[in-house]
Amino acid sequence: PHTFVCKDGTQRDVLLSATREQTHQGGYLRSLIVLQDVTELNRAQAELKLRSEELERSNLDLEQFAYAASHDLQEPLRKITAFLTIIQEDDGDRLSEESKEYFGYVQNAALRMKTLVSDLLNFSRVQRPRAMTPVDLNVLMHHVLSDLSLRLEETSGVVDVLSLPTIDADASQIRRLLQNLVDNALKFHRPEHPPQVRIEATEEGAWCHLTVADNGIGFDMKYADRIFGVFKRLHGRGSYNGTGIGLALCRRIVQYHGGSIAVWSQPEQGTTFTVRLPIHHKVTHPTVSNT
Amino acid sequence: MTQQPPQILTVVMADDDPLEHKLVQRAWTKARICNPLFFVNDGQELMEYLRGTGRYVSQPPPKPGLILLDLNMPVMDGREVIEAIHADDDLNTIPLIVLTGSEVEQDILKSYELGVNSFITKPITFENLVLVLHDLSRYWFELVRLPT
Repeated sequence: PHTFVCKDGTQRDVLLSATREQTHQGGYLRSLIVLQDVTELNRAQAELKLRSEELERSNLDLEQFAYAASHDLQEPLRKITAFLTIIQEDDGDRLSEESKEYFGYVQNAALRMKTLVSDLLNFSRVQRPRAMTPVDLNVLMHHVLSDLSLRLEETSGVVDVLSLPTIDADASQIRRLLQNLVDNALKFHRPEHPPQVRIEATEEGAWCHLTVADNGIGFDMKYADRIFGVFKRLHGRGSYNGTGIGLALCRRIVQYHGGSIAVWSQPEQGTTFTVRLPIHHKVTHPTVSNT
Repeated sequence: MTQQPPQILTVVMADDDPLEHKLVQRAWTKARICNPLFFVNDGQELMEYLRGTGRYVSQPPPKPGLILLDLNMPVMDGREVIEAIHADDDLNTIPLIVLTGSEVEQDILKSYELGVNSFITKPITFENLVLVLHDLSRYWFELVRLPT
């Protein structure tokens, strides 16, 4: 590209190309010169590159933060739980019944914090996938169900998996995604009603639509957006365990794959999650060319 | 000539937090492990302990049967220690166990790459610490054969 200086002194980046046309006899006919003002294009590309670098730095910061959070926050937690245990062991008989109860609350709070910190770390460590490879979703579901065998047993749950396609994806992330969705489907079942989960997928053009449908407790659609928030739960701490990060993680993974996730539900009538993912991925990192 | 009594294996633990020394000692006792447990505060002190140099030159301690190592320590951190021990022919036959707060993948991978025998994340509760140490001593002192 060349730099042209305009009459008013401003500079523009210009791409110049020229061809020479010949007559039938091979003589000179005319020249065709194309001038293309690429100033805006160059500016946009430079900005994209800058944003991309900023994002890389930000992600790196987040990972470092997450490491520090996980490692450095857990150490004081261990001290809290350990010394509380020791006090209870050494001086337990001198404590009132009420105090003993309070010690229990503190221990629980510390343990909950440990789970929150671990979950936060896991969440932040889901980064943009480095490589996308063809993943057979049937095989993946098989692994997911074997990981969830304990949950299946506990709930007497039944999971029906219909034939699923193969898509380009980060296998470990999609596995996490499916595991969270199926685990939720099993976990939030109605009392006296063992969970029944149905997983199927359709291919529409370039997209794979995967649904995970359950017959569980459901929820009011006015909360549909909220449930995807980090640590957002619809239930009190007494019922259904979990920190509320599963769906936030699902959404993050789906976004990283260029897809989307939606939910439909009615209280007491079950819930259906629909995940939309592109079947093919050509480029795994957006590249910015330097012209 | 005095008879040498049969040596009971000692364990040395390197951790920069004196409260960790307290907790591990208590858990060690609670787990009814007879092997003596000694503590050092950082990597450098550990090397002096193992080699009988520096502050340990006048009374060199017996070579331990097991080394427990925290990763993040000042002066000379866990990773540097692992490399130093590996480079020393005298010391690299002692099983090296990382006992740390971290559960982060890169720490685990790096430790095994550098050549530790095991990597253990310190459990959150005290009761679990007792169980971990109990299993640790059973494994290394009863199940496994160690070089003399």
